[in-house]
Amino acid sequence: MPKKWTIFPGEIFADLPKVVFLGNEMVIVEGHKGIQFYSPEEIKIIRFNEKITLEGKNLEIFLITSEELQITGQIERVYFERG
Amino acid sequence: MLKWLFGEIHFKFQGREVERFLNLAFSRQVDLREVKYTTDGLTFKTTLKNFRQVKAIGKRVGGKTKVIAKEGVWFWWKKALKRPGIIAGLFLLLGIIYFLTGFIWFIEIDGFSGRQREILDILKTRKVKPFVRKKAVDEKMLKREILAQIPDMAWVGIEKKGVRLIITGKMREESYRQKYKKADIVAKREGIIKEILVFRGSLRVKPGQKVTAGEVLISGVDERGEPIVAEGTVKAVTWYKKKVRMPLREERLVPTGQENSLVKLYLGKKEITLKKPPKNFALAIMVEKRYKFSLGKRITIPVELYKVTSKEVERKVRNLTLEEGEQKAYNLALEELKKEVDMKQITNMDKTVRSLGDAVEVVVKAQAIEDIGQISGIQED
Repeated sequence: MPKKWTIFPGEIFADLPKVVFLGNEMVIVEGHKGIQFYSPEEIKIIRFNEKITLEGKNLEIFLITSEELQITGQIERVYFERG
Repeated sequence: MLKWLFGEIHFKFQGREVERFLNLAFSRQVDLREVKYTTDGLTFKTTLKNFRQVKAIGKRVGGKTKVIAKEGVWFWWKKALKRPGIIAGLFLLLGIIYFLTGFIWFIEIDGFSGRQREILDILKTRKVKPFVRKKAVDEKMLKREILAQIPDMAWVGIEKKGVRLIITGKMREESYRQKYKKADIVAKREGIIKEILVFRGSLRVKPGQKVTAGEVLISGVDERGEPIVAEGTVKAVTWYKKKVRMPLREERLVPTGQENSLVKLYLGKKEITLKKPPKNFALAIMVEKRYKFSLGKRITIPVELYKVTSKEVERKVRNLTLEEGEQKAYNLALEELKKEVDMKQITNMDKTVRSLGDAVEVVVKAQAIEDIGQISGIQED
């Protein structure tokens, strides 16, 4: 099924990460480059020159494809690290 | 849904390098679902086509991959193939269902204004009853039989729906037979007779005969010469011709967007102008509204507000192309045709187009098969 996300100009020109939160129970990350660390309490996702760290409880990878990553669980904190 | 159809495998990966395993999987386009962390590795689900890839990735990162469960129709089918009894039973069941659906199980009669008993009797004589084979029930024949035996029927519908035979019908409100002493059936338009069904009266025409409008088709006289009300249907081939001339110059009134209004208040017989229009338009559409005031339903106050809104319009001329003109003329001709004949009854239609310089002329000729009979020559009791 085609995705119906709204594309903002910033997404195209600045190559900003698309991170969609569904409450604090699910997060969808598009355009990821891999996982640096995975445990039920912490997941570190690589995305070009930045890292996205998710902290919480019972974190599970609901879906991992070359295009997107869907993580479920109880998400408590999110960090974006550049460089 | 597709995953369930083609099969999904539930894997367990045992190894230390879980991140490397996940990264290798997605880089090789192996989609993983429901990835869960365990003390010695991961559990996850993937589709059947990724089986070999997952095994190879597991080996490459120095871990072990084990199948925990197999889900989906594909695996169920593979398992079932090892037990031919199940397959045979399934086909046998399908066969029995197919065989049983070849019969009428229920007969439903709806309508007929309390004359269902007569319908049941007709069905009995035609040997139509529950558990009869569907193929043995000829709907057309049955319909004709009912119409022939109960002439007061307005219409009958017979439908086989699954294992049900549904018979619906309606009686005529008041038949001419009850109301009048004598009546003929005459042709309402010219045609060539194709099919005749006489319920009452003496037939005056035969198939293939050309009849003109007003000609008696079924005379309201019985064998002994006594007057009766004729009944029956006479289907004939009829022709229609519609000629439409469409000018290629189309003039329309288009609103300019300008509008003004006149508001007056009437107090009894006194008239007070509250608002006057600044100018009168040369061409306008007027909308008139009156507001009356009252206290409840009974007491009317002699005060009335009168408002006229003028919306300015201008004439615009548009030149139609030949194709547009032709299409418009054709649509108009069809509309005209629809007023005279049911389009479902038309068997053949022909269109000719002629350009007349500033106009286009479309002639539509249609051939139909329809009931041309109508009651005439009524003699009341």
